[in-house]
Amino acid sequence: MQRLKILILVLLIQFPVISQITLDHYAEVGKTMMSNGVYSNVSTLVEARYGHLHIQGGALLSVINPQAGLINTITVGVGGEFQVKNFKMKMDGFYLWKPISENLRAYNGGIIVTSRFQHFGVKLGVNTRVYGLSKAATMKYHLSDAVSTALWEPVNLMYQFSYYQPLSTKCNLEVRITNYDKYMILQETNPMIMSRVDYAISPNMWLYAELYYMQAGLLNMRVNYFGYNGRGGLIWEL
Amino acid sequence: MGIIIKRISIVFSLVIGFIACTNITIDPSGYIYSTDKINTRFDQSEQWNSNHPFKKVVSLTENYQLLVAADSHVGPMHNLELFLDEAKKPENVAYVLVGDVVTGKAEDYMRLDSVLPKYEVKPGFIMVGNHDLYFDGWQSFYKLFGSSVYYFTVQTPSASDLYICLDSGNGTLGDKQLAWLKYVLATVRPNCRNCVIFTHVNFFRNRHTGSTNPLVTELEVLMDLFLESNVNMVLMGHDHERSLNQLGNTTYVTMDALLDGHPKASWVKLNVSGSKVGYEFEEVK
Repeated sequence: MQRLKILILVLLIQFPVISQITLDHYAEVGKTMMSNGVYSNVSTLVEARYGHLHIQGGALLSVINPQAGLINTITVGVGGEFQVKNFKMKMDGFYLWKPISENLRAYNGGIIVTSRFQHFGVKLGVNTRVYGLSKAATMKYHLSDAVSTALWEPVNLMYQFSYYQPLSTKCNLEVRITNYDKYMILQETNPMIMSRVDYAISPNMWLYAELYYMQAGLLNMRVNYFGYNGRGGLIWEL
Repeated sequence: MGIIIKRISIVFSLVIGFIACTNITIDPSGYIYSTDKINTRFDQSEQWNSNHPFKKVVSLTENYQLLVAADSHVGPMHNLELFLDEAKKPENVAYVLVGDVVTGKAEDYMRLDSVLPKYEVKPGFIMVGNHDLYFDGWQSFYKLFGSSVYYFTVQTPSASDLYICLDSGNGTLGDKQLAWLKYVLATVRPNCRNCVIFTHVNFFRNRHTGSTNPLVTELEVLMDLFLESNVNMVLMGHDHERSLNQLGNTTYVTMDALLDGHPKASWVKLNVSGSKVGYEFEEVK
């Protein structure tokens, strides 16, 4: 948590020299087999660009039916654009912190490389995940020093394959298969299907709507519906 | 777009047709859409449970042992018979098969059913895995073994231990089974000394495999629940290769496959000694 505070502080100090800021606000509703009813969250993501580099940070807050408290997940990241021959690419490093409950935390770190073509987009990356017990849990369950308070999943593949179709000069459709989202990374064998529509309301402002559909065991066993997530948002380039 | 979908459908049908004509033991017909719903299976299991009370196994000693294995994938059943022979020994009070017991084919269910009576000297608890559901295997499972979601207790002279058997054959417990699990952990668990959970699909990816796991969203809920309920151990299969994880007081054990020809086929001896639950892998000789 201390490191997170330092990172946010660095982000704020850098603010005056940054040339462009992008805000991404959204609200979402969803339901899964585990959510005990419908949940709703809101998110704010800020990306600040300076030349070919950018830093980003965001928070997902639980509004209805929270799993833990108000803070659902916090993310920070840093990245840059580069070119390999004729291909423009983007590389991002990120860190996600999620208080699953009063007792349990999830920490994710990873790297993603993005490449975009006219109709197709590919994002590939890896992440590592640690589940850890909170200090409160260590005291509550009287855990001795010999007991492991963290569980590490070393490497997980992250992927996102998108198809983009312009519907008009202002409107775009995207269909995506992915195993991660802004605040959630599933295992590599658990893809989600997502569709998204973007609508430009001005040259620097877009509205968007996304719908995620999650299956358990897709392409692997006899699948079952797991959940959905619907989202409406606004992107604003300052 | 229509042509692409048509071509994909033809290729998919040819693959399924090919598999149906060969001896391949996977059934990809449910990989994109399946009528096999976990909530429906849970409802059927609850109905079965209402007519068949949860079993109580009696141990005459405080310390006792259960024999546990996963992924025998009958057809071939040499290793499974070795396991069942071992289970008959007096130190074992019961045995548990943690899913993927058969290939899912009706004839393999019949094969299993034909040998089980020889080993009925000890109570056996058979669970569903993803392979048991292939080829509409649930119909056979339900007919032969009944419920896929249940618990049993082992009663020692001074205490009772709780063993919960879950159905994760579709990669999720589903909302109904989760509610049942929460209820059992809230009402039965406090009266028991130890609690062990069996579920087929392994939770954690300690290595790269093509086999799937419950979604992260589900794992977060279950890990928190197990921590809160002071679950001693979770025993899983599915991955065919042993791995161990620990978080707080809960130990997560993924077992090797018992499958014939598996280079490290093994079973687990689950040792209970007072409030300690231990395990030991025993390789098939």
